[in-house]
Amino acid sequence: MSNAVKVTNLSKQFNTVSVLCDLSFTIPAGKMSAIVGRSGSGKSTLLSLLSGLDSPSSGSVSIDGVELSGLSEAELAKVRRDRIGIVFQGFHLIPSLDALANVLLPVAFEDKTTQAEYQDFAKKLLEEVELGHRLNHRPAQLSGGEQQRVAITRSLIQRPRVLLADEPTGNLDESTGKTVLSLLRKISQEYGTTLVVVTHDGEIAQQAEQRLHLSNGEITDETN
Amino acid sequence: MWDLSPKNFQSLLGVDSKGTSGIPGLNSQLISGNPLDPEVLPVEALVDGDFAAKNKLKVGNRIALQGQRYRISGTVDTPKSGNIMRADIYLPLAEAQLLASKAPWIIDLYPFTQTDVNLLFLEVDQRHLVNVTSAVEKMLGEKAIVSSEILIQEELEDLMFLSDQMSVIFTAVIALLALALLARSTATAIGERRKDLAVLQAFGWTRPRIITQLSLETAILSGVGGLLGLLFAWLGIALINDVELAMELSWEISPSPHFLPETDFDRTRMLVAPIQMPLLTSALAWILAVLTAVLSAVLAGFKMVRPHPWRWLAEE
Repeated sequence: MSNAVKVTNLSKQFNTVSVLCDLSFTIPAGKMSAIVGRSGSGKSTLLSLLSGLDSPSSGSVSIDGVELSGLSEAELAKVRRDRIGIVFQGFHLIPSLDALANVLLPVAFEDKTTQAEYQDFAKKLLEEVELGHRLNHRPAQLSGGEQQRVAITRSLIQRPRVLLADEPTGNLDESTGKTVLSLLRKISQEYGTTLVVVTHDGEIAQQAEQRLHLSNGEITDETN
Repeated sequence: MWDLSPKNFQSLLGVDSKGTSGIPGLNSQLISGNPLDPEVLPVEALVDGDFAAKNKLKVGNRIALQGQRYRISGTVDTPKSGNIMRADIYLPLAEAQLLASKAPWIIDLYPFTQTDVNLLFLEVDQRHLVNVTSAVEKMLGEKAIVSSEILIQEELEDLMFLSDQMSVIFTAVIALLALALLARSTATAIGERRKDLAVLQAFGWTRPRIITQLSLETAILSGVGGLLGLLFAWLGIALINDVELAMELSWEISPSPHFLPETDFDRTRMLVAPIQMPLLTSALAWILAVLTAVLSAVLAGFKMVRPHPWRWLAEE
């Protein structure tokens, strides 16, 4: 089985503080992996490096066979556009845009024909997450669970190879969290997307095929 | 003329015995005493009411002018008399000419003779004003100042020019302040969106693309906002139209002899100041505003859209 993510000797320091120390691991394609750890263990920092939204102090990250280190800013943007989807704990929807426009944001600069295709796909995805009736609602008009479902749909619009989710249920109540997570799993499986979830919730981690336990910037346990 | 002595000084005006701006005008506003009769000998004087009060002068007192003593026939309320020049003491013109021709401080300046005058008021038909003025100027040469409505107009034009210049400077300062505010508000608005911009980066938007998008949005917003502003300004101007100011003319700048007591001349003049917003100026202001906003957006974009935006996304 090929690897969707390959991390080699990855370290990250902020000034003199070492947040991640010499991490090396792989995440198999098409599976769900959980990066587990307590607050301050370096989970979110690791996710920022996997997404190319921050640069490592040393080491390398490879996403879907593409080595991120050494890529220009534009090339990194292209990798994110074509291969990576991100779901944030805080949803990060654009308040002035409705649900459909938020979902279409990553493909806003595509040509008209492709845009039309994406629009159909976005509607289909929103239907799948049971938001077909909320297409024209703005984030403020949606509940937390609905906003996160829009955010998940947005992260999948370009059919990414890797979906990175940073505490996707962190801002939701338990019941809504479960619904969102099962939706995330279902859709990832449906589209063959590798799902990497960063969480401190052991119950969520149990659902993953692979679990990486992070503590003080180091992987202390890896369960497959 | 000024009557100067080691202890004090006083102004003296010789007035014509005829005409409403002469002795008859003064006599019409007597406060006390008798009208001045130019035929009476020895010659008498009229004294300004304020001057008399200040110097405790009364009717019948004698006042010394260059060694000559004159009986005060009356006191007069000069401002109400409509007299053009206000003086402390008024004498018949011939007597004043005689005194002036003997005053050493006048003779030292000019060989003033008994038939000379240093102030001459002419009532001129408005239609012939230009010709008369130029003829008088030619006649008197550079030794005299000929003042007329023309001179007043020229002075007013100078004043208006100065006022225009001040308006331009004032407008420029206001415009600069407005542009600075526009730039600042644009930068602030973009700063408040930095998290949204980081989200766009997370989904593959490049920095140039984001900055282009910001510039376009700003151009459209500032363009439409500017047009709306101009529209409101034009509406405001249409409502206000011209500004009309009622201004009372003092005799110094009045073109007509309204000081004559019997004239019912309206001393007020309605000045109309047209409010205009020329198309070229409007277009220039609009272009400048849009350019300022776009430039500010580009600069703020470069500042806010960083290569590694994770910190904005992980803030919550």
